[in-house]
Amino acid sequence: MQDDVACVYNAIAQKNKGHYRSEFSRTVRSGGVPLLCPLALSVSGVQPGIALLPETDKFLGFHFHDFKSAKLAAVKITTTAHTNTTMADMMRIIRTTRGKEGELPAKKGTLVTIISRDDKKGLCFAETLTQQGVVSGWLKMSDLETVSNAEERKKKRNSFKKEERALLNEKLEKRPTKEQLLEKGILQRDASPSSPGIARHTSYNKLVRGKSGTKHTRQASIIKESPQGSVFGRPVGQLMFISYTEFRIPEFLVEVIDLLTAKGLKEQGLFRISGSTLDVSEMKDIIDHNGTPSWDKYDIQTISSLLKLFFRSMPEPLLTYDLYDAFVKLTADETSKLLKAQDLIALLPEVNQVLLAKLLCLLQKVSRNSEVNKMTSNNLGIVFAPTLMWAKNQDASSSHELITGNMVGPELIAFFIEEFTSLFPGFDDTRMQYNTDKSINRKSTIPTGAPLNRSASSSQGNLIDSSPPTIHLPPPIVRDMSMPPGWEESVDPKGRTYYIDRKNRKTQWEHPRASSWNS
Amino acid sequence: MGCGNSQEEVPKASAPNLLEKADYSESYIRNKSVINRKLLKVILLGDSGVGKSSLMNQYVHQQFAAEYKATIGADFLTKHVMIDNVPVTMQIWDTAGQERFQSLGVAFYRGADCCALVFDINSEKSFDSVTSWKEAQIQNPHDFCFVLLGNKVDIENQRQVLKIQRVNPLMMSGVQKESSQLVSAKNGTCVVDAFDCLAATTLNRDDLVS
Repeated sequence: MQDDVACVYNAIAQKNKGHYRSEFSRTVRSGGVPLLCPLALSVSGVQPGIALLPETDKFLGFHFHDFKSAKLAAVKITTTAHTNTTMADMMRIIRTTRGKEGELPAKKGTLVTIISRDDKKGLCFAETLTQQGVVSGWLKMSDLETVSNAEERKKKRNSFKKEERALLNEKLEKRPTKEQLLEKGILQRDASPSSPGIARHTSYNKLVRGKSGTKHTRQASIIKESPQGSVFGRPVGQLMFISYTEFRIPEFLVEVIDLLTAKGLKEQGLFRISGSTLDVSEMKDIIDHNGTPSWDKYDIQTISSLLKLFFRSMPEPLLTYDLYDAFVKLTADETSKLLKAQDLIALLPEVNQVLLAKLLCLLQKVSRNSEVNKMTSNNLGIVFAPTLMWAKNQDASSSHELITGNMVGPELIAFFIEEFTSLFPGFDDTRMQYNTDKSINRKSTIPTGAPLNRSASSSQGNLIDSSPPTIHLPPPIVRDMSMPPGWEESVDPKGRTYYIDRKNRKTQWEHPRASSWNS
Repeated sequence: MGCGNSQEEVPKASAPNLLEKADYSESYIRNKSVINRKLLKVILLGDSGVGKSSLMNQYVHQQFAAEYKATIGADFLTKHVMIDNVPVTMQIWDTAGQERFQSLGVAFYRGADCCALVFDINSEKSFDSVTSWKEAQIQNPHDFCFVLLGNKVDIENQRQVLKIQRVNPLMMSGVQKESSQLVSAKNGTCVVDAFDCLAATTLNRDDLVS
């Protein structure tokens, strides 16, 4: 049995005619032997995935954590005995599986990616992408049927195209007139039945479920604050979508958070006292028309109300419908609350995680000043719980429950605020963004560990592992992969990574920070 | 409409007197039979931080808590009073002032007899949003008796001065002008009087309707 090896890789996800390929270069260990390998789950680029290193028959589990560069956070290589593996194998399940004894729970008709196969025992290890992220487990080969790859790829490509077109439209009309906006609104409405919910998941959902995303059908509930605008009320995944490897935080949100940090921390009752309703809707209109409000015009309470409105008007709450029950149950758990909270947060879509981290970081600062502003974490919890979480089928009859019975939400949000540093250890407080190196240490960022461990144990003859998946990753090697100023990373025609020193006009194979790693 | 006898000028009567009166009637009511007792459901609405919870506590418990705490969801307290020689149980619902709850719909407010719209006289914003609270919350405004309560009169020096003269012309239709007044949940100014008056108005109105 080979040992598991942990290593930090660089990866660039590239799109090539609808296929996603990922380019890995082993810069850390061996000075860069580039490997081109297809991603097992190549849809989003920000999901955890598994890839096969072609030369070595080694599996590579990875997790993208940086939207912009899609650099690799943590990589684990597990050697397996299976050699007859084709990564791109997509199969359809013909019998609904319950997920007992290490089996992959999936409905009939779900498409899965086969990662490894054991033909002797008639089993395979497969993965599928769900709302909660990647789910993996064993399946009987007899429960699977092959699907025509070409057909599926075509479907996939088409859905990509649709979303890219919508994005392009948006970019072209930066400051549209009212008619254009209306037209665009119609366009969006037309597009939404086929791409509802979180953009990142949508196309894959379609692919996987074979249904047009019924899961995301918007509820005509009274919770819905406003009709969908170009910013407010849009699914957050769509709003922050640039490409499958890139996301952006809406500019206005960054500005609002900066402003509140700069001016609001000493304000008594910040976030509790509501601002002028008229001013808030004015700002909302400006932002929905892609403008920037002149912030000086409005007082701090109004701006804080705008922030609350943004979260409140999301079609799906930031903490998602799927995880609502799990989050509610969490508060009753006294013993392993923090660990479970970390796990649950890791299950949120990455975009939601980043937004949550950004918000909680601000709220934590507010609560630190509670001597002055009177907003303790409990108060903030009360104020923010109804804007961050609500159950799916909340109609008029259960609004009573919401208003009288929901004591849990506030407690939960207060807990998040108090434990912010433990929940998001990689979050850079000063820069208000993820520190890419630190986040490697987050246990929760590496859900891929689970399936990998299983494939490892499988080669020991213990095929079906009924114990709950545990994550035992060797401590990742944490290294500063950022480029020093004046340096640039590039790839030569043979695919090898090299580094350019712009100042001295030199190139080299070694990473410019390589000398600091050894010390 | 209106309740002539119980509403004279805005009383400057000291709070202790009113409290005694209330205590007396409450103990008196408790000993009486329940048969004739009327139930009045009163809901307090208004922006966050204007003092709805404090008002309710001042009225029912004669207490003012200095702690600064937002209300979760909603809460209610009851108080037995005597209005025009009729025993009445006041059920006062205190609601969360978060904007999120503005759109909750009528389910929660079903069965309410009276709606007290609370604002902070030091904050014009809270006064402006009274209208939106009224409209968002109540689908059939004619079923309700509306009363305006301007809270925090005790804060004199930092007041933006929203005078009652200015408030009067601004009062929207459907609000019981006679029973709307300025109160202070902190030192109890006019609180008991305001609630008694509100109850009387509602009862009179109900009688007229039926």
